[in-house]
Amino acid sequence: MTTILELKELIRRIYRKYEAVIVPVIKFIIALILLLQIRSSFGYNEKLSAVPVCLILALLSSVLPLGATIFFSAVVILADFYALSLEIFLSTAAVFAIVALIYLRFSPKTGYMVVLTPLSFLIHIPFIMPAAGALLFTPTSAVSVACGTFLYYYLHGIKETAPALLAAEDSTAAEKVTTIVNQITGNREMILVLLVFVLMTVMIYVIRRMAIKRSWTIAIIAGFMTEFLILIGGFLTLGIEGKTLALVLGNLASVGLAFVLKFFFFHVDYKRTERVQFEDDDYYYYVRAIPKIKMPVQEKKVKKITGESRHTVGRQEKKEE
Amino acid sequence: MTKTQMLLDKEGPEMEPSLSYFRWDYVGRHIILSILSGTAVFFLAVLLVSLDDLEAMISSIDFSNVGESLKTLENRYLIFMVIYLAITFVVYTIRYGRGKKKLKKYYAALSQVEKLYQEEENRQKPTGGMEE
Repeated sequence: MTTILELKELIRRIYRKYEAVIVPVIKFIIALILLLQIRSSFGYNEKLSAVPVCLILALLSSVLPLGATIFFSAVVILADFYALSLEIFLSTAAVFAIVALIYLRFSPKTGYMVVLTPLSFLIHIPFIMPAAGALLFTPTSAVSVACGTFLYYYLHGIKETAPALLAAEDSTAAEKVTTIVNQITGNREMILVLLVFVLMTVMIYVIRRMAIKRSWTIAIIAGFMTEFLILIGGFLTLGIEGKTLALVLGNLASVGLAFVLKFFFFHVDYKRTERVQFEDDDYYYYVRAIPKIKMPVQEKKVKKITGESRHTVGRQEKKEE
Repeated sequence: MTKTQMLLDKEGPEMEPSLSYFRWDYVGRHIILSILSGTAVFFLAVLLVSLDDLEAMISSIDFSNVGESLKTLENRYLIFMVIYLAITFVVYTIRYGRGKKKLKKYYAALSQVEKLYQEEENRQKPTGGMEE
């Protein structure tokens, strides 16, 4: 345990020290993965989907605010769909406008959730997103997670149907639009997942804010249990097959990640709980204080042994020599 | 002082509404913005869904039923807007309350700093010994 705590402190220290470098690098990696994923899924516009263009856009995203990553991704997707079909382009532009209006109205600061949710679906651990939103942010992060979920299902639907639409040259504009609209209105799985994610976010947030012992642990377990049971029941009721294994494994991995988040952001020692009372000009405070568990990283000492004398120097001094 | 500045940098944007607006002015302003965005969202969604059956709709258009169709659309719009505005009301009321709490915390930190300055000043003042 001590080693893990030391490792955590070390990671925190490194992050604080090199934040200016680490943040752009993470933004670059996320943007690049997203753009390459769009390229492999659609890539109908050969110019915008070229790898050098993806690299340039990812590089720009790393130095610009997060909104830039979302904007670039949306532009590339729309350009791809314009090359595919005008109807799909117009419908997708309308869908993006709806999502942007809702997201910007309620949850503009949790943009990462909109970007990371579709990516988490691709690696089969989408259940971590509502939990992470509820543990680290506020319940309004449910809006971002819902937008990300909606976009994933919509784009996944287009990806599945695009080859058929391209092949059927004689299909009318109305038929194409019908196919697209069915991605939204006829997708019962998407509606179920959206509702469950919103419920899960609110539930985890409410429980973790309660003044009870081990609130984060209880919140994580209760949230994931509820989500799992509703989803499995929903899949059985709706007759959606072949999802059980992914659901079980995805949930197990997501629970593990949720506990990793808890370890980094809420690692406290309930045994050393203190009750304190104090006052200021306006209030009396009756406070229960729970200390955070911290483990100072041990400073490495280099012992220098020479023939003439022995002395111990710090790493810095050694370096200077 | 550093802690106070860090608090201001981190929480400043969240405290801003409770500094600049009264609670209902702030919530009201966002409700007005939500009326605009909600209306845009509703009509974009209607446009998208109606495109689905546009051809059937045009071919079977019955002008005697236009009033009824508009009434249905109006009802749906009202239901949607009530839900959308209720969410806006809850979200922005909570956001204002949270900002106010953070502002209180900031003021408490400021008064601590002020006390420290006062103590420092008192220490530096001459003690007022007898004049020769």
